[in-house]
Amino acid sequence: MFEYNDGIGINNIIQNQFTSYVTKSARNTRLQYLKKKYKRMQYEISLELQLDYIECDCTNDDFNNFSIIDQIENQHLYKILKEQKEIDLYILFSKVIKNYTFEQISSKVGMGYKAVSMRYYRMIKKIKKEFLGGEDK
Amino acid sequence: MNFYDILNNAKQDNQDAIYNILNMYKPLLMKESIVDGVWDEDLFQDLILTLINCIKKFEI
Repeated sequence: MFEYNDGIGINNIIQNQFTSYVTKSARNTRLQYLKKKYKRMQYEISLELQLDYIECDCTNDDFNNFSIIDQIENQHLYKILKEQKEIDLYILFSKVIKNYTFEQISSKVGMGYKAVSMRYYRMIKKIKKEFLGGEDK
Repeated sequence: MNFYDILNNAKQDNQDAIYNILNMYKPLLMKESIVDGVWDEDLFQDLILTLINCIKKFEI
């Protein structure tokens, strides 16, 4: 049954306090959620545009690795990738983002199939090692 | 049963009491989960979690 809350009595006071607590918390949650959502949307749009740009660029074999790295949110991974060689990054992104085969990459970079695959797997191993074990350093 | 008792029961993980409070505050959560005129289900879920957190943290 509906009872009017006149703010008198312990029960009503507690209900009012709880309501204001919930209202404030809900508004904070909403704010945080919206901030996160807009931040994520910003990244998603810029990455999409970036991929379009890369798509166009790849026809000229001009692959801008560092612009892809700049999209990475994880600071640790960003730091690791920044330290890698340009050619290794090219191989990594060609394989992971563009889904090129090792034959296609090897013809683009002018290396043998084996050399490209070796570089790729070494790179993956290195990233894994530094990413998982890097926190202790 | 008054609000004090319901809240007290909810704090002791009584499912019915929690459900009761959720129903009481549902209009508020619905209102807060509307973004640009569109109801956001993810936000609504977040707000339900917030309300459950509030029940646990609120000191009587």
